[in-house]
Amino acid sequence: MMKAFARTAATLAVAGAVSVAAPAVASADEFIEPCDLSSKIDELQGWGSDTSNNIMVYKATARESSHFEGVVEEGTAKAVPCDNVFPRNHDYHWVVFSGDGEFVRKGDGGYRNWAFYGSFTRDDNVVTFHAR
Amino acid sequence: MRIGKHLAVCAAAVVAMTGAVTVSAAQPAAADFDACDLRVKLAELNAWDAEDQYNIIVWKDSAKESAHFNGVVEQGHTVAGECDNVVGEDADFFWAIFEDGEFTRKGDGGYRNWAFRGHFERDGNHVQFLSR
Repeated sequence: MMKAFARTAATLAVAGAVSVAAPAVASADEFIEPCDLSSKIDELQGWGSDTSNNIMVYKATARESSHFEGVVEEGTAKAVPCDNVFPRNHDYHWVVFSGDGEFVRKGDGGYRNWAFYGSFTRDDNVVTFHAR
Repeated sequence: MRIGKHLAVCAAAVVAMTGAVTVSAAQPAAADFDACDLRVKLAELNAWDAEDQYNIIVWKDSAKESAHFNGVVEQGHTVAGECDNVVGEDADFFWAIFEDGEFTRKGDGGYRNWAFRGHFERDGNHVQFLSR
């Protein structure tokens, strides 16, 4: 991945214009599909290109507790929840990690609330991740 | 975000080449993204791959039936107003630079929905990308 980012700089130089993003917690440009959080996993994996890590994507309100080790990438996006009539943004988070971890969900399941990938053992709303 | 950090690190070098930098918190680096003609983005990415080593595709998220790529070296996402949409609805757009893979389109074709280049075999809405 570092290689890709190194090339990004070259691309920007060619393009002739650059926006320097502040280390914002939530960027308006981050992708999230509120009705199907598994699509974020697809993006984070480069559409199948790198499946070597554990990944957790979740709606903030669906998180009871969580713990991740060996985090390699994480982010947040704001979006109106799936099928919400009231246009109020909620936070969505994702974590790509190589180590152990645990996520405890509260409320409903389903891809609008969480999606995960990797080596794990699931007991209903508790997912225990194993180091890759 | 890591990209943001990296851009910050590289900003000095980019300034030297371009002479102009826009610093903003939430703006995507997509000022010249053309939602009506994804070849514009493709051309920019094409400059990145000067030695024609990779395959490149740009697509509108809603036009993707399925995608699988191997060896992704660069990928990105932006939100832009849909082409010719009077309501001004935003849509998600993605791009990837990769070794090989495949992409299946759904819905209409045309450069507002996808654009790609490289070494490929196309059959209707399905494109098989081969190593270059």
